Amino acid sequence: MLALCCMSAVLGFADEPAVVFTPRQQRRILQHSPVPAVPDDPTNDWDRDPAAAHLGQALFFDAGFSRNGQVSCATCHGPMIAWTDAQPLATGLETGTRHSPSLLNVAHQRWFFWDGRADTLWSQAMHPIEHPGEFDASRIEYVRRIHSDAAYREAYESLFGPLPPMDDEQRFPRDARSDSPAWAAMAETDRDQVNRAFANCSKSVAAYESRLRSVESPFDVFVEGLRQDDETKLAALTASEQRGLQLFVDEAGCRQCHSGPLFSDFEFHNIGIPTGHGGAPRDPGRFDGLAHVQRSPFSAHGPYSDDPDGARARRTASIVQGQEHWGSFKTPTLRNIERTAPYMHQGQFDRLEDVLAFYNTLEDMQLQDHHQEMVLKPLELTDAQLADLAAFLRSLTSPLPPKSLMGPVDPRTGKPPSEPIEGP
Amino acid sequence: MIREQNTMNMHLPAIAISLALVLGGCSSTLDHQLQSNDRAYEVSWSSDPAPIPVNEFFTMDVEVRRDGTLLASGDLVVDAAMPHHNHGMNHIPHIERTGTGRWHVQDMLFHMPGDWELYFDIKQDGVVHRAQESIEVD
Amino acid sequence: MPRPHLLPMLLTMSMLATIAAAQAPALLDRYEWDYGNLHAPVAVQWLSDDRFVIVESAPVGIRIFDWPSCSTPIKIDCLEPAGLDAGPDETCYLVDSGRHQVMHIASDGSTLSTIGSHGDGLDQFRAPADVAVHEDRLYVADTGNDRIVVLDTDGSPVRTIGTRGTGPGQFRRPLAIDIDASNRIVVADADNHRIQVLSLEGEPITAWGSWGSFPGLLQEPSDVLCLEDRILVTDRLNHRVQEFAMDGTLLHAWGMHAVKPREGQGRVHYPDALAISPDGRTLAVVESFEDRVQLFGPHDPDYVDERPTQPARSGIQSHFGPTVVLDDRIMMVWEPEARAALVFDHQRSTPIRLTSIFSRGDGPGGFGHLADLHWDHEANQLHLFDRGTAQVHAYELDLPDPDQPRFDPSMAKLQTSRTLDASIPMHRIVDAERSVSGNWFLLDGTDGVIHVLNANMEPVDRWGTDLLGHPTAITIDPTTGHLLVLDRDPSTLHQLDTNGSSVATIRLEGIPGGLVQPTGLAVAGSGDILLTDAGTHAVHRLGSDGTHLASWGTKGILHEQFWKPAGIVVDDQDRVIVLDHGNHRCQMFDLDGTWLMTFGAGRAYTPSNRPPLDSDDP
Repeated sequence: MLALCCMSAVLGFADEPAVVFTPRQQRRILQHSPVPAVPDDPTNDWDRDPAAAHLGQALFFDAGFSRNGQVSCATCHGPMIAWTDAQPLATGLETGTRHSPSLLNVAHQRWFFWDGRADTLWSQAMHPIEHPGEFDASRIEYVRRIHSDAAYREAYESLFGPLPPMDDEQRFPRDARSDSPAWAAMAETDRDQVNRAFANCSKSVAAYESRLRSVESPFDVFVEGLRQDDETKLAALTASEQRGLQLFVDEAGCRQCHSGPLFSDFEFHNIGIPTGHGGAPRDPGRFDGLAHVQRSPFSAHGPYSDDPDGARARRTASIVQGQEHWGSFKTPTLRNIERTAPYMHQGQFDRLEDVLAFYNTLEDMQLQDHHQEMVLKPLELTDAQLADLAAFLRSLTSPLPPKSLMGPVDPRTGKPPSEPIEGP
Repeated sequence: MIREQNTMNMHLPAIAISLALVLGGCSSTLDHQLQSNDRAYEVSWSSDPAPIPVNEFFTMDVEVRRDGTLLASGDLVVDAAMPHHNHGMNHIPHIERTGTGRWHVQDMLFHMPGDWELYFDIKQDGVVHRAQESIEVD
Repeated sequence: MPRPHLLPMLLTMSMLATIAAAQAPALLDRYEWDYGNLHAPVAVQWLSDDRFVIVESAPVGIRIFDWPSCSTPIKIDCLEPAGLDAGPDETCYLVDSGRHQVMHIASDGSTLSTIGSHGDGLDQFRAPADVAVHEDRLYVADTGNDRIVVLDTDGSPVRTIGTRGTGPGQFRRPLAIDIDASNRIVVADADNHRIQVLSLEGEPITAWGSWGSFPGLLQEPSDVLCLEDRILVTDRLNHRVQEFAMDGTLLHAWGMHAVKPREGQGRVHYPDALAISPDGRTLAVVESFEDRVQLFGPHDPDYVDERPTQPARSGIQSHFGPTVVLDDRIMMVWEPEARAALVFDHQRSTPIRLTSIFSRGDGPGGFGHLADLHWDHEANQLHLFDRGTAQVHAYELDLPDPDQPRFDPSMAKLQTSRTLDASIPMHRIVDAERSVSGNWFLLDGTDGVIHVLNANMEPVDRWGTDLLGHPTAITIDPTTGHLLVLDRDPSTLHQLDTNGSSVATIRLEGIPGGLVQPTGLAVAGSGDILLTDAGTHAVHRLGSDGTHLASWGTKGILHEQFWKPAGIVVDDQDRVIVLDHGNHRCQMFDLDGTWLMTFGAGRAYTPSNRPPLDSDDP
């Protein structure tokens, strides 16, 4: 390592000029690989539990929880298109206002949704269920379905213990949406039981989503080569990709936000991108997201967290809200970026080249007013440099997770539903 | 995380102050020493991990002295900002007094590489005195 | 045209206002008309669908606009008019902020009675800014006392609501008040940058807004207008009107002045007040800074404003707020919009911005609303007197090599943030000065008091209760060491020695055109006194005995013209620098008024380098 820092790496190609990385550039490159193991989530005691992951996978692909029976998590996060939907804006029961992000490597994130209104992967999974434009369902009907379905019930109760007696419709009225008077009229202990079961199911979904890893790209091989001084591995990136990498870690300043092994700082920035609807920005983004996460009962510091006094909880309680967060959105990971078009929080750009063109000129950048200090400067790169950058970004593509994670399963076994369940 | 590859540059004046304090009999064993901007207080601190990494939570131990003596009263607030970017940290750090003139700070996060300013605000008798240090994380 | 009597109008006003609230269309953002060249209008009320009254402040008067003509100004006995509301009987209530009272005006414009007096008792006010009449009660935004005062319409006190602070039910500079259709008090809580809603008894119900320029955020909201289903807010430093649902949900933000002053025609600049016509189809927006009232009609979905909406990208556009200090190298101004103090190197032909000092919020070093800056070159200390957070911040500057001036956002280092002794009303301080001996003199513009602090900023004395009326500025005469205080009521200069004894009182009577709104004060090395008058858009130079020596400036946007000039300083070469606040620039003259230079951020013009007349500058 020390040796690397003391010399410049010269990487030659037969017919092209060598790419020379300075020690500083090499040091930065090494920060981007390898991707560490999936971090533990102390707020979710089941995040590493294979049985919970099986239940979660079944729930993920099940459209039966939505109001019209046609929307599942996989509707917007389709496994065949890198767990996204290839649409500018997400469409559940209705078309929403933001783009569906990919779920690949999602367990590494610090905040969830573009605005970070969830602080854990499991609490993220709860939101779409009750959103009128997505599932338009209710947590009480969600838990009732788990209760009434033998397979779900068995899977759930073997993990979390008995479900509440959902067949008692006096205590657990039908269609008692969480914003309805019927819900408010329920006993607090009963509401708590439903909330807890709902949270447990979501923790199972999170256990499944934690398995969606995709981290072995040509870039990672190249970095291994850099560490080991292995020319064969260094050849994993072409000359153009290496030039793009050099721009990425230096002149183009991409790593200001796209830092670390996931090529994201997991935080929020307003880059003044033109809106998808053409007018002035109206989406407060992080400004509203952090207000939401602080008051949500399903946050890391809430009663359904398995670590309500831990660091994650303390940090959620201590986030700062200010004008600088208005209109800011989470830095997306660049891993597998080639697969996750269109780009940006409203899917404003169809192609990677369009994104780079925006940063290159800042054309049509939206400044809120003449009081705003502008930090971002146009990159002003040449066409060849832009092509190199795009080539490098495409070198971040990794094999997808195994096929066993790509479809519905039996919640008790994690095997395809058609396969018979083995007896005890 | 490849912590050892990150660098942090102390400004030369801070090193000079550090030397002066050591020669003057300061007993702090913490890595960094500096004076408040009005020269009224001495602040010592160290971070874990050290050096401070990019976009990774770190903790700090801080000591505050006046005329070489650890501060028996007063409060400390620690914060940081990137003046070139017009923003600060995204969290309010959690600060706990651990003894006379000693504090432990959690939830510090420099989420972007670049030039940060670390602020130590010492409040005594209605007046806040600031000590600060420039830090580059890369 | 016969002079209309106020009596029938005012009777109609309250009745029609109620009707308007019920009938207002969803959005009134289509520019229809404007009335320009007014005299610093501060309030407006409709009399009928075609008629309304405008209150002007410089000089003070009322005008009746009766489409398409307008009356001559009607004089009223008021020092500093602010909010206006119509009562249920044949009277009108107008706030006189300067005399700390609510005027009860009869139909002929004469004063029937006054309600309240100067102080903080149950029926007293400090520089109140607005009044709302509701069911035989007056709800007064008692701005200087940071509270709401409720009185019966005969002036009997009912209750006071709130104290100074940032919590629910607390206020920092409440500027406007209205009562909504659900009988809730709605307050523009200006230095908390929020709208607060309370019950008529004063129980906090909800609040929304925080500092910022994005939709839904606020910067010093200046007026509220409650309609049946929504609340309109003049978002003064954001130059726009924002409309909120009753729970604070943002419905619309419109009218933003985008590029430069004077734009108008649907774009508003520092809006101060709102009123709606009886039929609910016309909204008036008062812009005192622009001497203008604009009228807006129902939204037109087909209308597209072709003018640019995106500002220049060359970084922050300095507004050159009202306050300036300088030495032979650097000049500092307070930029209210960015809540930042800007430091310029003015040694070169084009001033170079060296740094911006900002730290928003109430934390250490946090700025709210600065009253004054003070630069001590020898000590390398910049003091910022913050009315918003009631603190004094001291910074040192790590200035670059004079031969290589460059922008460095880290140049200023906060030394201390100090909360002064509780006896000092920091939130009412309008100006500050320091003597050679190190004592500080803080001018309370509301109570007419000078607070004297020692070098450690501990109070040692207070002067002037009997002497000062409505002081606006304080400075030190370098030739005598005496303090000089500019007073607006009446237009007077008080000379005091450093023990607070009166040395001389100069009545400012011999100035051509008179003084309307004296604002800035400076003393040249020769002892000559320089004044700015935001009301007549002029600069005056007087001898040390008050003899008029020179005047220059007219209202306008060309060089040598001014738009509401504010701060003024004289450098050691006897060059006079005037903050031409309304044109967002500085102008430099010699002592006789010969124009030397105009400069803004990153640009400068001199007699040999004038921009063409059709230039976009300022």
